[in-house]
Amino acid sequence: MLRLAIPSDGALSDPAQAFLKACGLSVSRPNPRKYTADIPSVPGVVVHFQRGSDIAMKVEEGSADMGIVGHDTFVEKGREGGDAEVVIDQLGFGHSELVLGVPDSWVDVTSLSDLADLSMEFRQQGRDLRIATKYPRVVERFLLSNGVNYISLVPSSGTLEAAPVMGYADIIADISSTGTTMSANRLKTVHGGTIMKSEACLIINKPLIIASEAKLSQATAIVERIEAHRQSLEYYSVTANMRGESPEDVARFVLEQAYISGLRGPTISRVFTRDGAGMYAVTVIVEKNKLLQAVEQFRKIGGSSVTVSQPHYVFHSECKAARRLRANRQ
Amino acid sequence: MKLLYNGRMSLGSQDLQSSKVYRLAGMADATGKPLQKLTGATERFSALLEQEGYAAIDTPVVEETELFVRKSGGELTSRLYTLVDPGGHRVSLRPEFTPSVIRHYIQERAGFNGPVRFRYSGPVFRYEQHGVGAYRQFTQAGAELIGAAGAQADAEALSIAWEGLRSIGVTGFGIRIGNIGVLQELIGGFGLSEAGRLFIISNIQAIKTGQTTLSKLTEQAARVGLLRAGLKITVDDSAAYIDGDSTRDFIEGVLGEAMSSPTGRRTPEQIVDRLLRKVREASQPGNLESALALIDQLARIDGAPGAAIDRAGVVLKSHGIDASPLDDLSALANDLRKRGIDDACLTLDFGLARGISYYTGMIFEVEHPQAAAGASLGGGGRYDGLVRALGGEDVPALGFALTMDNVVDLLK
Repeated sequence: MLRLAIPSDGALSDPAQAFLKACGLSVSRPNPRKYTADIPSVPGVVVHFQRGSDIAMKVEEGSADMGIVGHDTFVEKGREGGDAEVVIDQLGFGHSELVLGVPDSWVDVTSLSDLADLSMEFRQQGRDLRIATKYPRVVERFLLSNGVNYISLVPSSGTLEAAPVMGYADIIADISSTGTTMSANRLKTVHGGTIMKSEACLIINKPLIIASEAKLSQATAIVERIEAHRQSLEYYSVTANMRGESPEDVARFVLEQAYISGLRGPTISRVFTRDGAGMYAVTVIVEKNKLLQAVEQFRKIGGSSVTVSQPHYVFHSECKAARRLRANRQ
Repeated sequence: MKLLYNGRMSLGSQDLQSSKVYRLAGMADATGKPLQKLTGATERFSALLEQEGYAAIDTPVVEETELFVRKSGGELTSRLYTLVDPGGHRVSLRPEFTPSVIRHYIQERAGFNGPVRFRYSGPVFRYEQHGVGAYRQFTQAGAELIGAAGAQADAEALSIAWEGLRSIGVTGFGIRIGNIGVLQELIGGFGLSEAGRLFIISNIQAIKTGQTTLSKLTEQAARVGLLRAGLKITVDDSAAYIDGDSTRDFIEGVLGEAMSSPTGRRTPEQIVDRLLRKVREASQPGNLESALALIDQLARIDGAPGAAIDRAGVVLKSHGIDASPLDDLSALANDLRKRGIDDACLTLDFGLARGISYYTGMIFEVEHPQAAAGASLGGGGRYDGLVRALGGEDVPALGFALTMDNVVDLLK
């Protein structure tokens, strides 16, 4: 039984389920009060709904085998060299930035180096610059490496934006997707104050997964689908009808065109026309941003009825994430 | 109750017996011949230092975090092993010896007259990024010379490093020498603020390696508020400049809206004072650009000392800058020659910068063609402001350390 932990709360909760669905891994949760669910397309997988901030720890300690977490949370809570590791680093949703916010009224502070200078000034007055954050480890490392030396971190999980007004911190470091919460609380960002950019990622407890054949094959099924779905988003499948004497004849024309020669080459199949004339359907896989060039080239060589569809999956010859699952640990 | 407790204990101890405890990443055990090599080399180096009049010192592995944070700069402080001890003090494992030796000097200075020489060796700790060959504990052996200024003292440190490596049995190494003080002096004539000069010096490596361009740096300097934006007000086509006491009133008036937000633990006066200081100290954009253009040319100069100094002289002449600061470099090169150090082992590098930010003058690094990339063999330099910054008097000082683990790797 592979235990997959996904967020039950926070900004990643709904996108994570929508993402799994798009990958063909729909979560079936008959009772919304139940904290476990199934993925019917991969039998043997149990989905555990967990608090987003707990998932990194659950996977690390082994009470879940696999999890979907924000990369920022994983960096903050993960244990370097521990059992949990990232197997797919960009799932394409849950984008966010961890940024510093300082009071609007600090008109003298516009950059990170102002904060370094200010922390020195605070020190001369016998105090530290106080920073409220949910990410104390990441924030401390960032500030120290940028010369903001005299700091004390106020670990906090509540509404951080109010901390400077309430006086328990001078500045904050928090996740900002739009910046509106900051300005509503009369805070501003500073130049150089972006600490980390993040999106959702898939993590595993490697020792637990490689120890069990069943878990390894279930985990492989999951990462294969996710990777193939992520790859499919980069391509279109384009089909056009073309007249020609033979498939070889058509292929020659098509392969001369840069944008429609496909990943490996075109797939050509015969169209049985009423008038018996030679006509072939040519299908190629095209990178998304090259679509219009591809259509143009089909037209140029006489292609008609061009149809474009979105593949659901694109499986390359090898799944990189599946190889990472099996790879020896460093 | 008791039974249950015992039951859990025995389960726990079974768990403990069955699971292994591993060595931490980036840490090594040393035994047998490699250990002999390390201790042997350290002892030979120490014997040489003793002969040169350097007294042995051992300092605590753990110190108040403050000692290492105050002047070392972000590259080092972000790699500190810091913890809160059971008594609630914020302490760190030493990432190097220099601040501890200086702290000792300041605490005991009543007993010291004239220049003081210390030698030391032992483990230091830096939380390096995880990866192959990234050691988080390694052995440093080094020396500090406190209370000595001038090229002669610089030459003493360099030649001891040179002799030390030879006494250990390393051959084929070179020493790359730079001088932050000379660069500071050369750009001193451009009328930049201290922050502006530091900004240039801290970007010197990026300039040398072409990682950044001068226009990018100017833009960056403007964004971080190092450049004067020009506080000039035009009313009915006539320009007015605000100065003196009226500036504060004016600024407070203009900023009234912004200042109506909560200011936290700072008073509006403190904010305006700092803003005024920032505006006053900001550099003229043209001056920063000229200084950057000079540094751009200088940073690319490296080679044998004589030739490098000549090339730097040509560059300075083309910018119309007095070349006398280069005399210090010539004096050092002459002194090293007198001490019998082969010019061919020395590279004078005007673009050299080291990761620690307290250096103020000559700096150097030991290099070897067979050393693994990123494996430092050691280095050091002059840090005249450090004694004062750590609470002592204004005493010049310099020092260096060898990274013994990497040095003995070169021995056959």
